[in-house]
Amino acid sequence: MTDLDRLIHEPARLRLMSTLYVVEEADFVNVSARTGFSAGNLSSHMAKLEEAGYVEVKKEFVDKRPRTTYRLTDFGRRAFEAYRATVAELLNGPQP
Amino acid sequence: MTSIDVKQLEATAYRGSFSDGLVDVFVGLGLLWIGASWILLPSLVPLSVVGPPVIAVALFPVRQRVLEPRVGYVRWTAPRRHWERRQLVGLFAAGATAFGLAAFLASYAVASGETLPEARTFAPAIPAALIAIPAVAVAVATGLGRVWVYVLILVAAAGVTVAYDLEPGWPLAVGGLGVLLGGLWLLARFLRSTPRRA
Repeated sequence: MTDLDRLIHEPARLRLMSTLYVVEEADFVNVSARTGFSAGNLSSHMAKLEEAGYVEVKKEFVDKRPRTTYRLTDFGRRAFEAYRATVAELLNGPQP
Repeated sequence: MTSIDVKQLEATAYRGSFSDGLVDVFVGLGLLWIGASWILLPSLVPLSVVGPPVIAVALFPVRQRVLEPRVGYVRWTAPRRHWERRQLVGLFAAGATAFGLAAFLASYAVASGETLPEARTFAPAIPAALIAIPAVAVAVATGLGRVWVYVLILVAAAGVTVAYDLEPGWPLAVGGLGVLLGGLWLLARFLRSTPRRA
Protein backbone atom coordinates (compact mmCIF):
# COMPACT_ATOMS: atom_id res chain seq x y z
CA MET A 1 0.00 0.00 0.00
CA THR A 2 1.20 3.55 -0.81
CA ASP A 3 2.53 5.38 2.26
CA LEU A 4 1.36 8.87 3.10
CA ASP A 5 3.91 11.40 4.32
CA ARG A 6 2.96 11.44 8.02
CA LEU A 7 4.54 14.84 8.58
CA ILE A 8 2.26 16.45 5.98
CA HIS A 9 -0.75 14.26 6.75
CA GLU A 10 -1.29 15.91 10.15
CA PRO A 11 -4.28 18.30 9.56
CA ALA A 12 -2.63 21.51 10.82
CA ARG A 13 0.57 20.91 8.85
CA LEU A 14 -1.40 19.92 5.75
CA ARG A 15 -3.18 23.27 6.04
CA LEU A 16 0.14 25.09 6.36
CA MET A 17 1.69 23.23 3.43
CA SER A 18 -1.29 23.94 1.16
CA THR A 19 -1.33 27.59 2.31
CA LEU A 20 2.33 28.04 1.41
CA TYR A 21 2.14 25.95 -1.77
CA VAL A 22 -0.08 28.50 -3.52
CA VAL A 23 2.20 31.48 -2.83
CA GLU A 24 5.88 32.20 -3.28
CA GLU A 25 6.27 33.37 0.31
CA ALA A 26 4.16 34.74 3.15
CA ASP A 27 4.89 36.21 6.54
CA PHE A 28 3.76 34.99 9.95
CA VAL A 29 0.81 37.42 10.09
CA ASN A 30 -0.46 36.40 6.67
CA VAL A 31 -0.22 32.65 7.32
CA SER A 32 -1.84 33.12 10.72
CA ALA A 33 -4.69 35.19 9.21
CA ARG A 34 -5.30 32.69 6.38
CA THR A 35 -5.24 29.60 8.60
CA GLY A 36 -6.65 31.04 11.83
CA PHE A 37 -3.89 29.33 13.82
CA SER A 38 -2.64 30.82 17.07
CA ALA A 39 0.95 32.06 17.27
CA GLY A 40 2.10 29.10 19.38
CA ASN A 41 0.38 26.49 17.21
CA LEU A 42 1.74 28.03 14.02
CA SER A 43 5.30 28.31 15.35
CA SER A 44 5.46 24.73 16.60
CA HIS A 45 4.16 23.21 13.34
CA MET A 46 6.39 25.47 11.24
CA ALA A 47 9.38 24.39 13.33
CA LYS A 48 8.65 20.74 12.46
CA LEU A 49 8.28 21.55 8.76
CA GLU A 50 11.50 23.56 8.85
CA GLU A 51 13.31 20.70 10.60
CA ALA A 52 12.20 18.35 7.81
CA GLY A 53 13.53 20.77 5.20
CA TYR A 54 10.07 21.49 3.79
CA VAL A 55 9.92 25.14 4.84
CA GLU A 56 12.53 27.88 4.79
CA VAL A 57 12.22 30.54 7.50
CA LYS A 58 13.60 34.04 7.05
CA LYS A 59 13.75 36.49 9.94
CA GLU A 60 14.38 40.14 9.14
CA PHE A 61 13.50 43.70 10.14
CA VAL A 62 11.18 45.66 7.86
CA ASP A 63 10.54 49.30 8.81
CA LYS A 64 12.17 48.57 12.18
CA ARG A 65 9.68 45.77 12.87
CA PRO A 66 10.61 42.10 13.00
CA ARG A 67 9.15 39.99 10.21
CA THR A 68 9.23 36.21 9.91
CA THR A 69 8.67 34.96 6.37
CA TYR A 70 7.98 31.38 5.32
CA ARG A 71 8.39 29.74 1.94
CA LEU A 72 8.26 26.14 0.78
CA THR A 73 11.61 24.79 -0.32
CA ASP A 74 11.86 22.88 -3.61
CA PHE A 75 12.09 19.73 -1.51
CA GLY A 76 8.92 20.78 0.36
CA ARG A 77 7.08 21.49 -2.91
CA ARG A 78 8.01 18.07 -4.29
CA ALA A 79 6.96 16.41 -1.02
CA PHE A 80 3.58 18.17 -1.15
CA GLU A 81 3.07 17.18 -4.80
CA ALA A 82 3.95 13.58 -3.94
CA TYR A 83 1.50 13.72 -1.03
CA ARG A 84 -1.26 15.01 -3.33
CA ALA A 85 -0.54 12.27 -5.84
CA THR A 86 -0.66 9.65 -3.10
CA VAL A 87 -3.99 10.94 -1.77
CA ALA A 88 -5.44 10.97 -5.29
CA GLU A 89 -4.18 7.43 -5.87
CA LEU A 90 -5.64 6.20 -2.58
CA LEU A 91 -9.02 7.75 -3.34
CA ASN A 92 -9.26 7.12 -7.07
CA GLY A 93 -7.10 4.06 -7.55
CA PRO A 94 -3.77 3.98 -9.43
CA GLN A 95 -3.50 6.53 -12.24
CA PRO A 96 -2.64 5.19 -15.73
CA MET B 1 -13.13 15.96 -3.46
CA THR B 2 -10.70 13.29 -4.59
CA SER B 3 -7.55 15.41 -4.42
CA ILE B 4 -6.32 18.75 -3.15
CA ASP B 5 -7.38 21.33 -5.73
CA VAL B 6 -4.49 23.80 -5.48
CA LYS B 7 -5.77 26.00 -8.31
CA GLN B 8 -8.99 26.51 -6.40
CA LEU B 9 -7.05 27.14 -3.18
CA GLU B 10 -4.88 29.75 -4.90
CA ALA B 11 -7.82 31.48 -6.59
CA THR B 12 -9.72 31.64 -3.28
CA ALA B 13 -6.66 33.01 -1.45
CA TYR B 14 -6.08 35.58 -4.19
CA ARG B 15 -9.72 36.75 -4.20
CA GLY B 16 -9.54 36.90 -0.40
CA SER B 17 -6.73 39.43 -0.66
CA PHE B 18 -9.30 41.96 -1.97
CA SER B 19 -11.80 41.32 0.83
CA ASP B 20 -10.65 44.28 2.94
CA GLY B 21 -12.34 46.77 0.58
CA LEU B 22 -9.49 49.30 0.48
CA VAL B 23 -9.17 49.12 -3.32
CA ASP B 24 -12.91 49.80 -3.57
CA VAL B 25 -12.53 52.83 -1.26
CA PHE B 26 -9.70 54.13 -3.45
CA VAL B 27 -11.59 53.61 -6.75
CA GLY B 28 -14.81 55.01 -5.25
CA LEU B 29 -13.11 58.16 -3.94
CA GLY B 30 -11.33 58.63 -7.28
CA LEU B 31 -14.55 58.39 -9.31
CA LEU B 32 -16.44 60.57 -6.86
CA TRP B 33 -13.67 63.17 -7.04
CA ILE B 34 -13.69 63.28 -10.86
CA GLY B 35 -17.51 63.23 -11.05
CA ALA B 36 -17.92 65.95 -8.44
CA SER B 37 -15.26 68.09 -10.16
CA TRP B 38 -17.16 67.72 -13.43
CA ILE B 39 -20.41 68.83 -11.81
CA LEU B 40 -19.03 71.65 -9.64
CA LEU B 41 -16.04 72.94 -11.64
CA PRO B 42 -16.52 71.84 -15.28
CA SER B 43 -13.71 74.06 -16.53
CA LEU B 44 -11.20 72.25 -14.29
CA VAL B 45 -12.14 68.69 -15.28
CA PRO B 46 -8.73 67.89 -16.86
CA LEU B 47 -7.09 68.82 -13.54
CA SER B 48 -9.36 66.42 -11.64
CA VAL B 49 -7.31 63.46 -12.84
CA VAL B 50 -4.65 64.39 -10.27
CA GLY B 51 -7.18 63.36 -7.60
CA PRO B 52 -6.78 59.56 -7.78
CA PRO B 53 -2.95 59.61 -7.39
CA VAL B 54 -3.33 61.98 -4.42
CA ILE B 55 -5.91 59.63 -2.89
CA ALA B 56 -3.62 56.63 -3.48
CA VAL B 57 -0.78 58.38 -1.64
CA ALA B 58 -3.16 59.32 1.19
CA LEU B 59 -4.47 55.75 1.54
CA PHE B 60 -1.02 54.15 1.60
CA PRO B 61 -0.44 54.87 5.32
CA VAL B 62 -3.91 53.47 6.03
CA ARG B 63 -2.90 50.22 4.39
CA GLN B 64 0.41 50.17 6.24
CA ARG B 65 -0.97 50.97 9.70
CA VAL B 66 -4.43 49.42 9.65
CA LEU B 67 -4.39 46.52 7.20
CA GLU B 68 -0.86 45.12 7.22
CA PRO B 69 -0.93 44.22 10.95
CA ARG B 70 -4.03 42.16 10.11
CA VAL B 71 -3.23 40.62 6.72
CA GLY B 72 0.57 40.63 6.74
CA TYR B 73 2.72 40.21 3.69
CA VAL B 74 2.32 37.75 0.84
CA ARG B 75 4.19 37.37 -2.43
CA TRP B 76 2.13 35.52 -5.02
CA THR B 77 3.65 32.94 -7.34
CA ALA B 78 5.40 34.02 -10.56
CA PRO B 79 2.48 32.84 -12.80
CA ARG B 80 0.02 34.89 -10.72
CA ARG B 81 2.26 37.97 -10.89
CA HIS B 82 2.55 37.58 -14.68
CA TRP B 83 -1.21 37.17 -14.87
CA GLU B 84 -1.66 40.40 -12.86
CA ARG B 85 0.66 42.27 -15.23
CA ARG B 86 -1.23 40.94 -18.28
CA GLN B 87 -4.54 41.98 -16.74
CA LEU B 88 -3.25 45.49 -16.05
CA VAL B 89 -1.97 45.83 -19.62
CA GLY B 90 -5.29 44.46 -20.96
CA LEU B 91 -7.22 46.84 -18.73
CA PHE B 92 -5.18 49.79 -19.92
CA ALA B 93 -5.60 48.68 -23.56
CA ALA B 94 -9.39 48.31 -23.16
CA GLY B 95 -9.65 51.76 -21.56
CA ALA B 96 -7.36 53.37 -24.14
CA THR B 97 -9.27 51.75 -27.04
CA ALA B 98 -12.61 52.91 -25.68
CA PHE B 99 -11.20 56.39 -25.07
CA GLY B 100 -9.63 56.47 -28.55
CA LEU B 101 -12.90 55.44 -30.15
CA ALA B 102 -14.83 58.13 -28.28
CA ALA B 103 -12.19 60.76 -29.16
CA PHE B 104 -12.25 59.68 -32.83
CA LEU B 105 -16.05 59.94 -33.02
CA ALA B 106 -15.99 63.33 -31.31
CA SER B 107 -13.27 64.72 -33.61
CA TYR B 108 -15.07 63.29 -36.67
CA ALA B 109 -18.28 65.02 -35.59
CA VAL B 110 -16.45 68.33 -35.04
CA ALA B 111 -14.56 68.10 -38.35
CA SER B 112 -17.56 67.14 -40.46
CA GLY B 113 -20.02 69.36 -38.65
CA GLU B 114 -22.38 66.41 -38.61
CA THR B 115 -23.48 64.90 -35.36
CA LEU B 116 -25.94 62.12 -35.17
CA PRO B 117 -28.78 63.05 -32.83
CA GLU B 118 -28.21 59.71 -31.06
CA ALA B 119 -24.54 60.56 -30.48
CA ARG B 120 -25.50 63.84 -28.86
CA THR B 121 -28.07 62.01 -26.72
CA PHE B 122 -25.64 59.38 -25.48
CA ALA B 123 -22.59 61.63 -25.13
CA PRO B 124 -23.08 62.31 -21.38
CA ALA B 125 -22.88 58.55 -20.75
CA ILE B 126 -19.50 58.12 -22.48
CA PRO B 127 -17.30 58.81 -19.39
CA ALA B 128 -19.29 56.24 -17.40
CA ALA B 129 -18.96 53.75 -20.27
CA LEU B 130 -15.20 54.32 -20.33
CA ILE B 131 -15.11 53.22 -16.69
CA ALA B 132 -17.69 50.43 -17.04
CA ILE B 133 -15.86 48.63 -19.89
CA PRO B 134 -12.62 48.02 -17.93
CA ALA B 135 -14.73 47.27 -14.83
CA VAL B 136 -16.38 44.39 -16.73
CA ALA B 137 -12.90 43.12 -17.58
CA VAL B 138 -11.94 43.29 -13.88
CA ALA B 139 -15.13 41.44 -12.88
CA VAL B 140 -14.46 38.66 -15.40
CA ALA B 141 -10.75 38.37 -14.56
CA THR B 142 -11.02 38.35 -10.77
CA GLY B 143 -14.40 36.65 -10.33
CA LEU B 144 -15.33 39.30 -7.76
CA GLY B 145 -19.14 39.44 -7.83
CA ARG B 146 -19.32 42.89 -6.29
CA VAL B 147 -17.60 44.44 -9.33
CA TRP B 148 -20.65 43.42 -11.40
CA VAL B 149 -22.81 45.35 -8.92
CA TYR B 150 -20.57 48.40 -9.41
CA VAL B 151 -20.91 48.03 -13.20
CA LEU B 152 -24.69 47.88 -12.84
CA ILE B 153 -24.69 51.04 -10.70
CA LEU B 154 -22.56 52.85 -13.30
CA VAL B 155 -24.76 51.68 -16.21
CA ALA B 156 -27.97 52.59 -14.35
CA ALA B 157 -26.57 56.02 -13.45
CA ALA B 158 -25.50 56.52 -17.08
CA GLY B 159 -29.02 55.56 -18.22
CA VAL B 160 -30.61 58.11 -15.87
CA THR B 161 -28.08 60.73 -17.07
CA VAL B 162 -29.09 60.14 -20.70
CA ALA B 163 -32.80 60.06 -19.86
CA TYR B 164 -32.69 63.37 -17.97
CA ASP B 165 -29.90 64.97 -20.05
CA LEU B 166 -27.67 65.54 -17.02
CA GLU B 167 -23.98 66.44 -16.84
CA PRO B 168 -21.51 63.58 -17.62
CA GLY B 169 -20.12 63.92 -14.11
CA TRP B 170 -23.29 62.55 -12.50
CA PRO B 171 -22.89 58.86 -13.41
CA LEU B 172 -19.24 59.03 -12.29
CA ALA B 173 -20.19 60.66 -8.98
CA VAL B 174 -23.07 58.24 -8.35
CA GLY B 175 -21.02 55.21 -9.45
CA GLY B 176 -18.10 56.43 -7.32
CA LEU B 177 -20.38 56.86 -4.31
CA GLY B 178 -21.69 53.31 -4.79
CA VAL B 179 -18.17 51.87 -5.00
CA LEU B 180 -17.06 53.98 -2.01
CA LEU B 181 -19.97 52.85 0.16
CA GLY B 182 -19.38 49.23 -0.84
CA GLY B 183 -15.70 49.58 0.03
CA LEU B 184 -16.40 51.24 3.39
CA TRP B 185 -18.85 48.48 4.29
CA LEU B 186 -16.29 45.81 3.37
CA LEU B 187 -13.56 47.63 5.28
CA ALA B 188 -15.71 47.94 8.42
CA ARG B 189 -16.66 44.25 8.22
CA PHE B 190 -13.03 43.28 7.68
CA LEU B 191 -11.78 45.33 10.64
CA ARG B 192 -14.49 43.85 12.89
CA SER B 193 -13.74 40.26 11.91
CA THR B 194 -9.95 40.33 11.54
CA PRO B 195 -7.88 40.99 14.66
CA ARG B 196 -4.44 42.58 14.62
CA ARG B 197 -1.80 39.86 14.59
CA ALA B 198 1.31 42.06 14.66
